Amino acid sequence: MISRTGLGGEMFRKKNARRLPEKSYETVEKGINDIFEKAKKSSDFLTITPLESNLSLQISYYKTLIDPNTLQKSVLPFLKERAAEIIKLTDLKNIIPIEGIKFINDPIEVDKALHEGSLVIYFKEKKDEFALIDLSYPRLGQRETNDTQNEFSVIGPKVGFIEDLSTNLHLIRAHLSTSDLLFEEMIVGSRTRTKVVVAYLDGVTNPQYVNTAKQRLQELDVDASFDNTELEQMISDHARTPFPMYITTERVDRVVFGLIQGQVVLVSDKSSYAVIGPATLMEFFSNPEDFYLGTITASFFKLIRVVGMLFSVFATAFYVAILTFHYEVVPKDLLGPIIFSRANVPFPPVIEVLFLEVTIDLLREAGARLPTKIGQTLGIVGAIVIGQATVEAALTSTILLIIVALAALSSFTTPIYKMSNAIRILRYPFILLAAVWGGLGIYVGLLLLIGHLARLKSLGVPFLLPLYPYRRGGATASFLRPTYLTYSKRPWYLRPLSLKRYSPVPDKDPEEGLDNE
Amino acid sequence: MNKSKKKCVLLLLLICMVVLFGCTRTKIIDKISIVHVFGFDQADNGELVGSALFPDYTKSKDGDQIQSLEEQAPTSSLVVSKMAAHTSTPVEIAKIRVLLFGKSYAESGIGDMVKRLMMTPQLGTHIQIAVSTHSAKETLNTFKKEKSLTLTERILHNMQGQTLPNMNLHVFLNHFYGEGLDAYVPMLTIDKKGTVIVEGIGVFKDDKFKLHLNPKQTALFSFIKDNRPITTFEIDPEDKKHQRDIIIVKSNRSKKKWDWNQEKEELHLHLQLAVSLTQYPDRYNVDNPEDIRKIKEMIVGKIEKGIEDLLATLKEKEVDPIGIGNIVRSKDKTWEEESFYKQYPTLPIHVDVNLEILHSGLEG
Repeated sequence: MISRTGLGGEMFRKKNARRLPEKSYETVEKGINDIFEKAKKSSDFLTITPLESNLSLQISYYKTLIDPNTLQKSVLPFLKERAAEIIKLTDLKNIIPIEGIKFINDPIEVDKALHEGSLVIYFKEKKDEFALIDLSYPRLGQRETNDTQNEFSVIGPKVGFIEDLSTNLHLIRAHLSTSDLLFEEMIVGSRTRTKVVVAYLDGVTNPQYVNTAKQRLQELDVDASFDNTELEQMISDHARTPFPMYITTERVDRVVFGLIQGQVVLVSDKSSYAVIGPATLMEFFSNPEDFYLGTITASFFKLIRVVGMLFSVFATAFYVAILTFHYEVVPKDLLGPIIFSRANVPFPPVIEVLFLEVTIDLLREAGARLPTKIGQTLGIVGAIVIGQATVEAALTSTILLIIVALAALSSFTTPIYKMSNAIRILRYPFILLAAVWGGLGIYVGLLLLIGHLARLKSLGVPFLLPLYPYRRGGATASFLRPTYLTYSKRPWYLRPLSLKRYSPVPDKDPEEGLDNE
Repeated sequence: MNKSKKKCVLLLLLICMVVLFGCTRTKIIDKISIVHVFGFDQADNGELVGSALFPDYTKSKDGDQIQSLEEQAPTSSLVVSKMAAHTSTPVEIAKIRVLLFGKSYAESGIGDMVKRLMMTPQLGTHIQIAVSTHSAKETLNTFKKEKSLTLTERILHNMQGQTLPNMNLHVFLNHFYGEGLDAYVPMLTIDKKGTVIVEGIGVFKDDKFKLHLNPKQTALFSFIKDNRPITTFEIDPEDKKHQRDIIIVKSNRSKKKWDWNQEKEELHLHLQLAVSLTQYPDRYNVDNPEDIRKIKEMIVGKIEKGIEDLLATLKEKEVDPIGIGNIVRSKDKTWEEESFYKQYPTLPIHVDVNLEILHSGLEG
């Protein structure tokens, strides 16, 4: 539903969302003494008196949050040298060579600043005015490498996001040299106070989406936000769906492309994943690499991914259905190998399939949890030993082993990890339905799946767009990668404010007609 | 609709689904006996003798472990259920690819059986239906010794690349029930070495087997019947001493045009045939147009003569596998089946063959 709110624009409200933000933040009025008393219980909170004079200037800070070098080199020496000049607190501005010294009176602001890595300087006797010097050290504890390890591409940039917001914003801003790119910062989480930045292209992105995203973030009432991938679920329209409603990516180029297309991007502190919305189902099967390869190769790979997704969901279900009910569709020459390989298996096909599928998922889960070095060994152990041994022990048939392995392989072709997990899970209901009702069961399952997909929405945009509701021109681009000539416009079904991206060079031989002159 | 009502509807729907389709018995692929070839004969007491071949893939994946079943029952539907008494897994007939009728059974009439086939949804209409000169049981037992179940392939490739005209159950039913048409089926026989071979076609009159056409007649028949008959046809030399003077042609496509003269009540067949010369006597030079003309004349003469003879045989036996009645019906509004077939044995049919030699020399 579309509603107008104080944010000044249309937006899609979440179903059953609270109208008024009644956040459970602790907003109890506290005096500055309470704040310092409470903070002193923690061993990393320091209060020092740098000057041996009657001024009794005091500095309080969390030593775990500030940059000690700056404190030693740029604050303390100047304070000591020019101690005589300090009469008022505002004199510090002239003494300390650091930009952005703030002077405030509000104790709550002081509390916030302390936790963001500021020094608080005040007179011991006169605790109603405070000077705040930002000495935060955000790169402390951050990793140095920012390769895209989970969304790998052979060609194209390999720069990914890291767990630091300012680095991530730098990466985006450095990529898009335009003042249209706007960042709007919001705070999420009563305890983590995570900074979340809503990024979009002004004049391109439909304000409806920006407003929707901002409104949902504002309405959020959580204590902690650990990662963007979690935040994404909190602001999603549907909680009970296996499908991710937004694209979560660690690739900078993907985010930049989303911005260019007119999508909203959420980047948050302490998270190496950006969230792109509104997302549609077919977008999950495209990859930035598609744009670095040629049209024909990229279209082929894109189709491979879609076929892989279908194969991954339906292959084992069809195996169960055919072997349990529809033997007549098996070609005559294939009957022999299938029956022979199953001859000693004591279970019905569904148990056989479930056994192997669960094994593969166990391997996958174990591989993801184990340290890298052991993980590789596990892969070999799992693939060869378990695979071969189960066949020799007549627990499964060899043909099923091939099908399951191929299905598992094709589920990993999906570039977005969250979507590839959804696809892995999706096959189980299909296997069970196939075991009960055969081909009809698969059909029933497909109906339910399409029904479910058709009612999903991402930031108010139908998830199946442009396939349903059908939008002409969009469907081809969903399955293939169009040439740069035909891809000069933004997808109009995403309703961007301006459609045109660039004017394509006409596909003509530049020397055509020159001979006639 | 409120939430609890929605849930009720969903529950009802689920119950309906389970009850409505939940009753199918599972047919797990290695727990059934999949019949590939089925044959029918007539027993001396008028009952049906059914014989079936099914492979035991659990012992060998090549399907060379072939089991045979044989059972006698008054009707065909009883045969299968009686067969189940012999097997340790249920007998499933949906994979039948060839239905074979013994000649003596075919001669006594297969009308009931064809009606039965139509009422058996498990059987596809792309399967082959054939008649064997020996009893079906004997043919199947001979075939079983070959340790393979490729009887369909044996018939099919002869239709696609050799003399047999195209036929399957679907076309058969059209011929069987259609007005102005008679059904024909491929014939199987057992040669001297004890292998099952394909030999010509058999023609039905109504539901009774009437006529067996030999391979040469079958080749001519498929010239008329098929659009792209790939058929090797040999023209024997006039002089029996010169066996090397034989001419072999391979047809490529044929175009037919039937003209019906209403007043004279006679039929004209214009047959446009494209063939390639596979073998011809050395004394002819195919680069020479004069020689080509001679060869052409000779072939046309032989084919025209052959077709006329074939039509005469068909008319004599009062069978119409070509569907001449149907052709005349398409040109004559007053056509009536009964009166036409009274006149059919004496119906004059003039054949006019127009031959085109595509290329010659190297065998393609």
